[in-house]
Amino acid sequence: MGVLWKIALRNVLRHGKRTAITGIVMMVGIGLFIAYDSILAGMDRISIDTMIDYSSSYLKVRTPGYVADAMGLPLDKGIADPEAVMAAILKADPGVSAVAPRTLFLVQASNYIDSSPQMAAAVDPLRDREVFKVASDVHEGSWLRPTADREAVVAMSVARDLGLKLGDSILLSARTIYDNDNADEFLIVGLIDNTAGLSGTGSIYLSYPAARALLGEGLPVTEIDAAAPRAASLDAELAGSAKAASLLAAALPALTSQPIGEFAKDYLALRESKSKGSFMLIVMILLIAAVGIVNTILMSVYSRVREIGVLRAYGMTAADVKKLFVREGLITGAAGSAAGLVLGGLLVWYMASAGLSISGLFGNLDLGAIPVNAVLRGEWKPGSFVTGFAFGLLVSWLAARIPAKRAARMQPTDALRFV
Amino acid sequence: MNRIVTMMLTLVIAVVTLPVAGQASGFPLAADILSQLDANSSFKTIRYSGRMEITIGGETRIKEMKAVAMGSDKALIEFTNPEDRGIRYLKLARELWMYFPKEDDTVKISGHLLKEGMMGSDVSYEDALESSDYRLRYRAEVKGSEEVEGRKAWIVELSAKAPTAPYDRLIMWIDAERWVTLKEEMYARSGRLLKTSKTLEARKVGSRWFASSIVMESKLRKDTKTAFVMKDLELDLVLDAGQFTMAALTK
Repeated sequence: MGVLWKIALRNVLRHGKRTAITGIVMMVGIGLFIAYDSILAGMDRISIDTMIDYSSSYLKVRTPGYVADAMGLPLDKGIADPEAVMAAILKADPGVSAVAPRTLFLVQASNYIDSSPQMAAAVDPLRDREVFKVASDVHEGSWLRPTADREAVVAMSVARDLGLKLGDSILLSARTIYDNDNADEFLIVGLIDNTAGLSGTGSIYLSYPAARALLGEGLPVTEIDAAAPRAASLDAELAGSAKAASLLAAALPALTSQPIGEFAKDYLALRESKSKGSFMLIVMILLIAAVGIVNTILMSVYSRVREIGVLRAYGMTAADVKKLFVREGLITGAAGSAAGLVLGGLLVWYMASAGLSISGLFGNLDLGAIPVNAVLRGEWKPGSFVTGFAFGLLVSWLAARIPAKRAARMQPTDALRFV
Repeated sequence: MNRIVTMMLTLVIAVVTLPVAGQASGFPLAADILSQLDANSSFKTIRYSGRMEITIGGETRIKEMKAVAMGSDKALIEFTNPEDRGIRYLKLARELWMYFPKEDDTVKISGHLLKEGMMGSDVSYEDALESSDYRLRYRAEVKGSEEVEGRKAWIVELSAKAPTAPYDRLIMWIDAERWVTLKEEMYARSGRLLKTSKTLEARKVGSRWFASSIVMESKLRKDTKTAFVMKDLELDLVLDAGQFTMAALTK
C-alpha cells in the first residue's frame, strides 16, 4: 500500500466520529436503494406472476381470427383440434410443463332479483389447476369436478353482490354458440377469494360439460394456456416465454402463440417509467450522502490546515495533498458503500424469505393487478448491489475532490500561520 | 305379407286423415296460423317513432326514438328523449355503430350486442328492428284456444327447427281473428322461461294488423319490464338506402 493510502487510512480512523456519520449516511442511502429496488422488482414480479397464474399464463395459443376479435370473445373462432395442439406444444418446447384449454365467455349472473354481467371461463378442472392457481384460491367449498355439469365456482365478490353463498344456486344466462340465449341454474360448489387475480379472466368457472350444457355441445376451446417452472428472475421469465412462443410459431404456423410479454406490455412500459422515477429517488438519497462526504472532508481540511502546512513544508506537493484528501474520501465512501451492501443484503434477505403481506401493507386497497391476499417478496438483483457500490464510490470521489482541491491550493507559509 | 299390407294401409290412412283430424277438433292448421302471423308481422321496410318505458326494480326510465329499417340488414335509430338526444345507432348486417353527438365520436359495437337489450331494456335491437319469419324457423302445433283480454286466441307451441332459432320453444296466444300475437312465452334450450311479452295494442296498417304496443318482461330478473310503443308506424314504404350510411350516422 502506498504512503498516501496509509496516511489517508490513518486520518480516516483518527476522525472516527466524522467517518462513522458519513459512513452511516452512505450505508443507509445505499442499503435503502438496494432494498427499494428489490421491492420494486418484487412488485413487478408479483404483477406478472398474477397474470401468469390467473389469466395470461406463461404462453397462450389461439387462432388468428380469435386474437383479432379477442375483445368480443367470439365463440366461432375456436381451435379445431385442441388435444393435438396441446400435444404439439408439449413436444415443441420441453420447457413447458403443463397445458390446459379454456374458453372465455360473457354471462349474466342472477339471483332472480338482481343480475350483473360477468366474464366466465369454461375449464378442464384437472388440467387447469396444473397451469393456473384459481383452484388453489378456493376459499370455501371445493374446485370443480371434471364431469359435473351443473356446478360453478364463483368469485366471492360476485356471490356477495347477489346475496348468494356456498350451496346456493346461481342463475347464469349467456349467448350460446347458436347466437341465441340460454339460461340455467348452477350449484355454487366453491367460492374464490381473489378479486385482482380474476380481473382479467373471469369471476365464474364452469367445467366444459357444464359450459356446453349452457352454451351448446359444440362449444369450442378458444385458447390453450401453457405453464413453465418459475424462472429465477422476471427477465428470465419474459425471455423464456418469448423463446417458447417463437418455437411454437414454427411448430403451429396456423395458430398465434403469444408470450406473457405481449399481455404485459402495458405493464412493462409502466415499469420502465417507474424505474426512471425510482432512479431519481436513489440519486436524491445518494446526493444527501455526497453532501455528508463533502462536509466530512471539508471539516477534515479545516481542522488540519496546520498539518497540511507541515506536510507541504516537508516536501509534499499540492498534487499529493489533493490525492491524500481524495483517498480519504474514497476510503470513507468505500466503507460506507460496503456497509450499505451489507444492510441492503440483510433487508433483501428478509423480504425475499419472509415477504411482506400486501393486505398488511395496504389493507384492502385495490392495487389493480396485485392480489390483496398475496405476499410481496423482494427479488435479489445483483445489478443493484454493483450499481449501489459503484455509485457510492463515484459520489465519494466526486465529493472529495472539492475540499481536496481547496487543501491543495493552500501555501505552506499560510497554512503554518493558520490559527 | 298380409300383416305388412295392413300396416302400410294403416300408415297411409293416418297420414291422410291427420290434418283433417286437426281441423275436426275445431282448430285451424298450425301452419296456416303461422302463415297468417308471418303475413301480418313480416315487413320489407319499417318506420316509426318509438317510446320505451324501462322499469328495473321499481325505477322507470323513458327512451324515445325514431327508427327506420330496411330488410334485416339496414337500420338506423336516433334517440330523441332529452338525456340521449342525438345518439344514433346504425346497424349494417351484423355490425352496429353508435354515434355520440356530445363527443362527436363513433364507436363500433360487437355484433353479438344486437341480441342484447336496447339501452338496458328487455327489447333487443332485433326485436325492435327485424322482421320475423316463424314458419321458416319453427315447427308449430296448436295446443288449444283461450280468451285473452276478451279476444279468442289460438294457443300455438313453436319448436325450433334448428338450434340457431332465436328461442328453443315459444308458446303464443294468437288472435283468432286479427292474426296478431296477444301473448308470448319465450323458452331457452334448458327449458327455462326467458321472457314473456304481451300485446297491449294492435293497429291496422294498410290491410294488416300489427302489434304496435307491447310489454316485455324478463323472467331472469325480478321487477324488470319494458313497455314498447310504436307510433306513426309505417310498413313496406319506399326508403332511401342512403340514410343507412356512416355519413348519415354522423351528420
